Amino acid sequence: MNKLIKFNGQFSGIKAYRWQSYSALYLMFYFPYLAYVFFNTKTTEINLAEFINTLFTPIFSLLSLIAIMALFIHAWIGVRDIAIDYLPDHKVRFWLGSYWIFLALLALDLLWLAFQVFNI
Amino acid sequence: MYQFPGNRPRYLSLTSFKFPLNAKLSILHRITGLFLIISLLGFIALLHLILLHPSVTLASVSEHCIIKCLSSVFWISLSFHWLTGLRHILAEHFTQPTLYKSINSKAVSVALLGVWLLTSILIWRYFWVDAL
Repeated sequence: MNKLIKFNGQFSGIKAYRWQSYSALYLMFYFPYLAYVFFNTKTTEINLAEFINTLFTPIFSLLSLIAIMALFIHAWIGVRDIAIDYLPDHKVRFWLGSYWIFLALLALDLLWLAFQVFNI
Repeated sequence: MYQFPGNRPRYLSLTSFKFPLNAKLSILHRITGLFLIISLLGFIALLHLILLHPSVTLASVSEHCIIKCLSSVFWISLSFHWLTGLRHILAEHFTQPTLYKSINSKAVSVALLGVWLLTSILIWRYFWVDAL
C-alpha cells in the first residue's frame, strides 16, 4: 500500500501505472455486470425510482461507489497521460489543472445530486 | 541535464507510416477512452434531467433518438476499450516469451476485432432494431 500512497504532489510513472492498472482491473469486472443488468432491463417500461430500487441492493451500491471512485482515478490518469504525451510543455500544466478542477466539480455535483435525491 | 536537440517538434506525417495492427488498436484504445469520458458527461446531464425535472422520465427518454445515439456510442466504445484494455492488462502481466508472443500475435488481435464487431452489431440491434 505504501507503494501507492506516498504522494508528494506528482505521480511518478510507476505509481500512476499501478493506480491505473488496479482501477482498470476493478472496472473490468464491474462493467460487464452493469451491461448485463442494463441490457436485461426494459427501460421503456420502468421508471428510474423502481429501477434504482431493484438494482441497488446494499452490496451492489457499495460496489458501484467503489466503481465510481475507480472510474474517476482511471479517467484522471488516462487523460493525464494523453495530455503529457501530446500537449506542448508550456500548456500541459494549464490543461491538466483545468481537467482536475473539472473532475472535482463533477464529483461535487454528483454528491450534491445524491443529497438532493436522498433528501438530506 | 538532457537538452532536446533543436528543430522540435518534427511534425512527421502520420499518414506516411505503415502502422502494425496492434499500434492501431492501442491508439484507438486511447481515443475510445476519450469518447467514454465525453459520453459520461452526456449521461450525467441526462441523470440531472431525470432526477430534477418532473416531466422527464427514464421511459420517455429511452426512446429518444439522441439518447439512443449516446447509449449506442457509449456501449460500442466501451466494448472496444474493454477488449483492448484486457489485451493490455494480459500483455503486461504475462511477460514470459511464449505467452507474451501469443497475446500480441496478429491472430489474437483479429479475433478481438471480430468479437468487437459482433458485440457492436448486437448493441446496434438492441437500440435501433429491436426497439422499433
